[in-house]
Order: sequence, then structure tokens, then C-alpha cells
Amino acid sequence: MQPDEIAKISRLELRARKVVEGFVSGLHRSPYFGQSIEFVQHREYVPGDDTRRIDWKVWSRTDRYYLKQFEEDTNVRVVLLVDGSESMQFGAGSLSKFEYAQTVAAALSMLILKQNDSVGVGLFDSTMRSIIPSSSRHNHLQAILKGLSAETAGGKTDMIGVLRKAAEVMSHRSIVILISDLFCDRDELFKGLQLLRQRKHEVLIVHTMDDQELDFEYAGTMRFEGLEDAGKLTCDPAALRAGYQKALETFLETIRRRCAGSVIDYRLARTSEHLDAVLSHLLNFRIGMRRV
Amino acid sequence: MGWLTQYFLNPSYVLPGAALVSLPIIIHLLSRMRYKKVRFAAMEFLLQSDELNRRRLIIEQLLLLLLRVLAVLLIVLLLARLVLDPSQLMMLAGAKTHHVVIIDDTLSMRQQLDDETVFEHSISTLERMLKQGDTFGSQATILLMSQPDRALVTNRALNRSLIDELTPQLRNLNCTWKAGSPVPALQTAYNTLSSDGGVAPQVHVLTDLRASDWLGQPEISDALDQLDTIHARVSIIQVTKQTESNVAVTSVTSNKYATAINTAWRMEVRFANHHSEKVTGLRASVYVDGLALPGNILIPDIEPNAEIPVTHDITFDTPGQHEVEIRLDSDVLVEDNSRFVVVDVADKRTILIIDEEGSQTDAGFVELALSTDQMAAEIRTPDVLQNQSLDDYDMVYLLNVSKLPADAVILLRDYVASGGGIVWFPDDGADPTFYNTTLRSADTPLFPVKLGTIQAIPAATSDQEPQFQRPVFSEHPVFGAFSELPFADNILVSQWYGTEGQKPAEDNPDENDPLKVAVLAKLTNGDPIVYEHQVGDGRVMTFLTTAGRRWTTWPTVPPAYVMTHMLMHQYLQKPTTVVESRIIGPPLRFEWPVTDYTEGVEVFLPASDENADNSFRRLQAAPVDNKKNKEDSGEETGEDTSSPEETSLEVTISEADRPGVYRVRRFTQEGEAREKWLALSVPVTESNLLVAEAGDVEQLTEGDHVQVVSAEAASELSTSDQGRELRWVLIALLIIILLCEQLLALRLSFHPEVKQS
Repeated sequence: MQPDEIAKISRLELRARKVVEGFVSGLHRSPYFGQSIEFVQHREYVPGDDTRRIDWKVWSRTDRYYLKQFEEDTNVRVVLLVDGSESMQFGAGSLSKFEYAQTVAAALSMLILKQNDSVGVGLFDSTMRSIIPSSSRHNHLQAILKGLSAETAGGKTDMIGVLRKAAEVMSHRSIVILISDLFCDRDELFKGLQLLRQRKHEVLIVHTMDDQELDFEYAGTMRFEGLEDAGKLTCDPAALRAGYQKALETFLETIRRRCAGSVIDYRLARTSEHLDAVLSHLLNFRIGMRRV
Repeated sequence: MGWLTQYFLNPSYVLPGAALVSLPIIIHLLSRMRYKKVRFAAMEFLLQSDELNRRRLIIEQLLLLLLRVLAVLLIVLLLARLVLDPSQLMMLAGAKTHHVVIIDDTLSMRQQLDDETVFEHSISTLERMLKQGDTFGSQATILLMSQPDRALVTNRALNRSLIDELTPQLRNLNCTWKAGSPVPALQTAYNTLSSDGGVAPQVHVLTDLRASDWLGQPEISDALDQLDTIHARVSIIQVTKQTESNVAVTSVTSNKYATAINTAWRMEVRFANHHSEKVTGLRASVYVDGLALPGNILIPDIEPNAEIPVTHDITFDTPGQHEVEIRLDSDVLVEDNSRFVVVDVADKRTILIIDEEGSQTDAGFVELALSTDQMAAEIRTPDVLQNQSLDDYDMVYLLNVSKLPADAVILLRDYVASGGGIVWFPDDGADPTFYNTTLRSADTPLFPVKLGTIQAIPAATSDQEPQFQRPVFSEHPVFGAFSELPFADNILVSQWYGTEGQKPAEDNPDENDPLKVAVLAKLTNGDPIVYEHQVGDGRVMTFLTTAGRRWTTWPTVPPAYVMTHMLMHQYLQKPTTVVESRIIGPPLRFEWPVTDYTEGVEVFLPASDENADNSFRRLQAAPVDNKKNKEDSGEETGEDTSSPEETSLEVTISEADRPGVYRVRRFTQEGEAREKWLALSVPVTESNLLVAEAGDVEQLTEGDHVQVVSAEAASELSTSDQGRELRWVLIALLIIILLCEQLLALRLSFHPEVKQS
């Protein structure tokens, strides 16, 4: 699905559904069915419990109603961390980076929920602005979409704080998907990511960048005003292009290298890029993880 | 702001242009103020790049700005026409473009093109150059090559009013019939330009570029080099390119221009073929007094670039001066197809024979030898030499003269010096002192050798034949045929005068000898018998034997005797002074002692289109400024030039500038009219229409300031020279700067690659 076409759909739900339908219809098989069967304990029946979960063997011995409790109801727990800082407002094309991140997060949530996996979403800037707790219920999608749609990009980024907070909140081993432009202090970023990794979370970064940020194809005298108070500069961008690209390349290379060093999956996503490709990358990552 | 005119031909463009130079700076500043605002996230990298490249960028931007300012500056300089000259003195002197135009108006410019002459074409070319010219800030001087000292205009501002004034003046100009070198005009141009101090001196020469005028004259190279010293550019505008073939009558000459009626007068006419191919079947017509004679002169084939002589005889049946014209059929240059000559025809030619011998027998022999219908011999005694002018006699015989009074000797000396011829036949009555002293003085060198004693053959005896001497003749116009004629052997000499002193070499006069004494005949014993020597313009022949039979049998050999005297008459005949032939050149000027003629002069011009109704001019002679005359000796004057000490009159016939016969009538103090007939013909040097190669002319000087251009390519007068104005240098600089600007701008700007679909 082309971002241009996606951008025409105003509602995030429809946008995510369109992406997912297009993506799923392109798959030959849907291999992600299964459930957790690891037994944990019995619990006494209380009215309202699903009678299908009553352990009849225990009842035959004790004549009391106990329910079987399993360790986990879902296959995978996924936490999507969406960067909602001011720098994500930028978008020279049809979608801003934030809109792109919203769409990716919504589509991923939809896919994950379809697999009966659990998904939670956290939207942050300098703080964790909103948190939608993980759940695998089908109606959970509405909560996610509502939460994502309600937010706009703004505020500065405090990546270490956000990641530390996320690490504290997440008690279960999860897949953390960070969707951000990563315009923050690199050391703090990786310190936070390292924290997640130490707590056995799998981390995946969807590095969202706009075409103009990557290609810098501006011409004529321009006045650049930095988002998140990053400074101002009036210049001939063509004259600075080579230097800009060199600095950018250094930045990307640093990110890639340090991600690899921390066993963090990294995916650079252009806002002009097909969303399918990003989804595919993430699913492949999940397959790879299940094999381990 | 007058100082700007020193450096710019269009100084009014300079100040607005200077304002324009600031345009790139203003545009640059405006572009810095007018920018597009973008809220950007990745400022970190942009600021890094800016920090790293700021210094380089400022330098590059300044360089780009400088290039753009320079480009505008160069365009302004081109429009304002910057003039730089190595000679700063010239710049300080106050610069302006000064065009000196030299119009070639020599005879060859009369060559006919399709529907106009080359001269007319050059005038129309000049008119076009004047009209096309940007008339700002230029000066003009226009000269004619034939008379560079009389400019049409001198150092006038080249503007519309001058063009309006010049146009009719140019159209009324006539090409002359003169030959002319470009040198005087080039020197005048140099004098004009060097005194003016113009920063961009330009010389334009409108010419047919004939090889005869332009090549082989070192003076032209000198004149062109001289122009280079003041940094003048010389543009030689070649009005015609093609060499045309031309046949010309180059001369009509004769041994004598005086003859008698009913006597065949022989002339030699020369025809030149200035053509690359042989010319055949030519005929020339002969006109006498404007009327064509029956029959033509048949001209043999003339090889390419060759000249041939053809002799032709004319017989006049009426006395007086006769105008003879030889005329060829028309070709591209009509003017050199005819030539004029004037012949003075008398009823009879008169010869004076002075014989001191009482019986005048010897004179009788001579008279008899010369007795034809066309000649009349007058026999007189020496007394006649004291009170009679000899101007009317063709020659004078002096037979058996013992001695002459001093005034008679002076009279004879003047007669010979002015071209007359005398013949001596001394006999035993000759006074050796008179002959050896008076007649051999430096003032009156009328006798060639010192007379010695009379020599005679041994007396005859009964048993021995007289031992006569025979003359042996050398090659000479008078005696040339004698060696081949059998009757010459019958000429015997029994007595003769011996000579004293060193004998002159036979038939080989000493070149250093002013008298050029030569022996024309010797006796068999080696004694000279006939001498010739020269006094002034005339000749003297001296026989050391008698004219009669007393000392020689010469009179008894009639063919030899008659031939000798007839040929001597032809050889010694005094040239006529009433007719003259000249080549058209400097103005015709006559000067004479005030005692000879009065001031009134009447001139009859040859009939022409301009003066068909009135060919008569009455002129007034003016006294000669002797001092000026001494300084200015270059002008051609008439034959009556007097010594500077005498009071003289002079008259200049300015209208004698075309071919034809002019009659100049002056009046003696007694009121008697004396006419002189002058035949003017065109100079032969203009007949060769070979056009010089442009490269050859450009190489006349080592400098590169001379350029030959065609009339079509001739630029307008105001266009200054490329080198002088630095136009091409500025254009080259502008191109280089624009290229650099483009390259730098390309480097500094962003050009996304075209992605292939």
C-alpha cells in the first residue's frame, strides 16, 4: 500500500485496516495460530467464569469446582512505543513522520491482535504521554486506535526517561517496537534500549525518516527552523547538502552499529516507503524470534 | 566627467554602467533576504554541515559574486567601448577616434565595372561607411590621394551634418587622370594624426590596390611603419578584386616633332598588353586634328605582359601645329587607349649655310645636296650671325670660317645649347687661334679638338697614282649605312686638318667628358676626319676637310654626299619649341622673363563634356616670388624658366588635368601672339591593372596594424579597431568569466539526478 494512498484515508482505523488487508491478502498462508498450554495452578470457580475451563477431573475427586489456570493466554506480548515528539511533526511528503508512525503502530496492532497476541501502545515525548495496556482482546484494537488518534506530535524527547519507564512497567518478557526518528541523545537512547534488553525484552526499532531528511533535496535560499528548539539556520541548502548527508550517514551508521551491538533489530523506514515492507520486516522478525 | 572620454568611446554609458555593476550584489543581498521558511527536524546534521563548510561557502559565494560583478563590468566596458593604448601619452593627450580616409583617385580607378567605375564604387562605399557609422565621438579627415595637401574635410566631428555636407561633395568628385603613389597621402595622414593625438587613430584607404602602386616601393613600407609609431590602424579597403586585362597605348614618339608639309613624318607607337593571354587582331586609329585618317595601324600580336613598337608615317598637307591622336578600341580602362602628340609642320624646313669663301662654291654643294621641296637652304656670310636670331633654322653650316666675332660665338653657343645643331667645315683660311682658343674655351666649347697643321697626300708623280686617303666610318645614325654601300669607296680625301693633343677614343666617348667628343670617321692612315660632340641640348659635328671639292671628292659622289647632308639634317635638327608632349601630373605651370611676354595668357582647353561650349580661358600671369621659387623647385615648369634673379611671370593652368592638346597663347611686348601646343597624355604606370595580393600588402610592414579588407566588408567609420578598443579581449574575458561563473554556480547548486522510470 502506497503512503500517498494511505494518507487520503483520514481515519486511522480505516487506514490501518486497509494496510493490513492488503498485507494479509498478499500472504499465502497465515502461520501464526497457536495458544499457550502451559498450566500454572487451579483456582476455585466463581460465578461468571467460563465453565469450559472447569477442571472436571478435580471435581470428580474433590466435588468442588476448580478452574485450570494457564501461564499465558497469548502467544506474544508486543509493546509499541511511538515517538510523539515535535520532531515527528516533520513531513515533506504526504505523511508526516508521526502519521506514518501512527499508521505503522495501528497496522501492527491490528495484525498482532488478529494473531491473538497481546499488544500495548505507549506514546511518548519527554514523558510517556499515554499508555494503552497490553491486551489480546479483539476489542482492544479500538482502544489502541482511539489512543493513537487522540494524540498529536509535540514536546521534546526524553528517550532515557521514557524507556526506563517502559522497562519498569513491562513485567513480562515482550517485544518492544520503538517507532521513532531517534532525534535524541544517542547515548541516552542506547542506555534505555540496553535497559530493555537487560530485562529480556526483544527490541525492534522502526526508524522513521522523511525523504527530505534523508535526501535533503532543497534548493534556493531557505531558512530552517529546528523542531524541538534545535536552532535556526538561513543558508543555501544545496551548498550544505554534501556535508549534511555526510553527517546523516554518520548518524545512521552509528545507530546501525550500536543496534547490532545490542542485538536490536533495526529498520529504517522512509515515510515514502510501502508500509507492507515495514510490516513484512516485523513479521519476519517475529518468525525468526519463534525459531529461537 | 570629460576625463572619461580618454578611456571610453561612449563615455555616457560609463556611469549608468557603474550602477549596473552593483546589480549582482543587490540581487545577492535580496536573495539572502527572500527565503523560504521550513520547520526542519534534522537540524543537527544541517548545523554540523554548516559549521564544517561555512568558511568554504563564504569564499565560494564571494567568488561567485565577484565573477558576476566582473561579467557585468565587462559588458559595461564593451558597451562603453573601453579604449586602452600602450601609449599613455596618447591617452593623456585627450582621446578620440580620428578617421583619416584616403580616396585613391588615380587613373586606374577609372576602370569600368559593370555599371560604374571603380572610383564611383569607392565613393559609394565611403558613403555607406559614413551612413552606417555610429557618429558619436569620432573625427574625420578625408583626403584625395592625388592631392593630399588639399583635404576635403580636416578633423571634423563625424556627425549627421557633416555627412549631409559631404554626400553631395563626394558625388561631385571626379577621378583624376594622374598616376599617384599612396606615400604622400599616408604621410599626410601621419602628420594629421600625430598632431591630433587621438587615442584611436584610424586610416582608411579606399583603393583599387594595384600592384604597380602598392608593391615594390620601400617608401610605402616606411610610411606604414611611421603610422605604426602613433599606433594608427590602417584599413586598406580594396574596391576591386579582379585583375582585368588591358591594352594601352604607352607612347607616341618621333625623332622630331617638326616636319614640312607633304613629308612623311614617322612616329613610333608602342602598345602594351597587360593581359595574361596573347592579344591578336588589334587595330589603332589615327586622328589628326580630330579627324580620323583613312586606314588603321595594324598591330602585330602582342605577347602577354609585353610591349611592342609599331612605326607609322603621316603626311601633313597644311602647315601649322597639328594634333595627332592614336586611339585603340575601348576596353575596361578607356583613358589609356589614346595618346596625343603635336607636330609642328612648316611649309619648308630652313637651313642656314654660312660660307666665308668668296665664291661660296662649297655652300653651293651643300645647298644642292639639301635641295628638296621640303627644305630651303639660305647661304649667308658670317655677318648674319651678329644681327639675326637662329631660332627659325633647323641647323647651321659653318663652312670655311676663319674666325667669328665674340657675339656670334655666343649666339652659336646659345643656339646649340638650346638644342640646335651646327656643322663645321674649316678650310685653310681657318684661324687656329680662334679655333683652338675661342671655340675651345670652357664657356663656348664649340670645337672638339685643337686644329693642327693641314695634312695632304704626297704629290702625285708620273709613275705613281696619288695616294688618296679614304674615310672609314663608324656606326652612327648618319654614317651607319656607308660601310655597306659600294659608292662609299669613291670618297677620297687629299687634304685635311691634323689635330693636336690627345685624340678621343673612336666611337666611344668618355663618359666623364662633358662634351662627349667622339670620332665618327677616320682616314685610312688613322687620322680622325669627322667628330661629334655635345653642347647643352644640341650637337656639333666637325669635318676636318672641306664641304666642296677642294680637299675631297665627297661632293662628286652624289649619293654619299646627299645622304650625308640629309641624314645630318635629321640628326642635328633643332627640336621645335612650339610643341611639347607631357604626361599628366603636377599642375601645368609656365614661367618666363617679364621682358618676353605680357601677363595676359590665353588657354584653349581640349574639348570635353564639361567645357564643350567654352574651352577658352583667359588667365593672368603673376610675378614670381623668387625666394619661394628657390625653395619649391618640385613643380614642373614650362621651358621658359628664367634665372631666379630676373623678374619673371608665372601662370598655372589648373584645368590642364586631362588628356588632350592644350594651346597656350602668350603675347610679346610688341603684341605679337606666340602659341605653344601641349599634348598631355595619361601616365603609363596606371595601365597595368594587376591587383596586388592582400597578404603582400599586409606584409609591407612588420607590424600587424595594416589590414586589407574588401569594400563589402569595410566597417563603418566609427568602429574602432579591435585591438585598440580591446573589444575582442573583453569578449574573450567575458566568455571565460561567464564559463567560470556557470561552473561555480553549478557546483554550488543542487541538481537532482533524473530518475529513470
